[in-house]
Amino acid sequence: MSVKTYRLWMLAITVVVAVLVGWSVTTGYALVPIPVFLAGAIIIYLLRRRVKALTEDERVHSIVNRTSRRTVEIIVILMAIAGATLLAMSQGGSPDLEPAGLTLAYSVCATLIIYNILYTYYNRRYSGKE
Amino acid sequence: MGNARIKNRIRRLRFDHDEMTQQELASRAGCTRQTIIALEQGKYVPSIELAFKIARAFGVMLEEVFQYEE
Repeated sequence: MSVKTYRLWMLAITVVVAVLVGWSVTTGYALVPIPVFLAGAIIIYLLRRRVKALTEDERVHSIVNRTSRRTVEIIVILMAIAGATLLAMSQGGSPDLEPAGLTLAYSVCATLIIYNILYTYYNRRYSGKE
Repeated sequence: MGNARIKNRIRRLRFDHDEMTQQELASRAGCTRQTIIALEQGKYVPSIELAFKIARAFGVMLEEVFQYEE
């Protein structure tokens, strides 16, 4: 399979997954997204194995590394600001905003914890002993 | 990612090797054609491993492909 065909398939699968997840959210079928996500991921994985040409290398990994880090930084800052704002507003007369503020605040904490666990793991894995 | 202090002669060496295509070099070195393009344009500095693979693809020493400029 050529890279172009693989990318077209990936796009099509992403669209189908997005449509099905959107449909499940609007109709209330909460269990649909899990198998849909899993099926999509498995199909993409199997298709990727059929691609003969190289689709990624160290330069792509380097780009992915930087992109991921920047994304985490931006998302964490935006979520922290939004969370703090919502929590402040909930104290100032809009108590219904508190759950959203807490969700964002806990999400930021969870993201930072996971980031630090993974950082420690990879730092140890790729460090020599003195 | 880019480092102007490390220069390379990949384009010249491709020309000297019967005008080897970027795709052919990429296949021999085990990277993508986009990486070869980035290397030739000085926008990317490869890992030691890829640098050795590229040198090996041309059948020359590493220093003949990459030069560090003080």
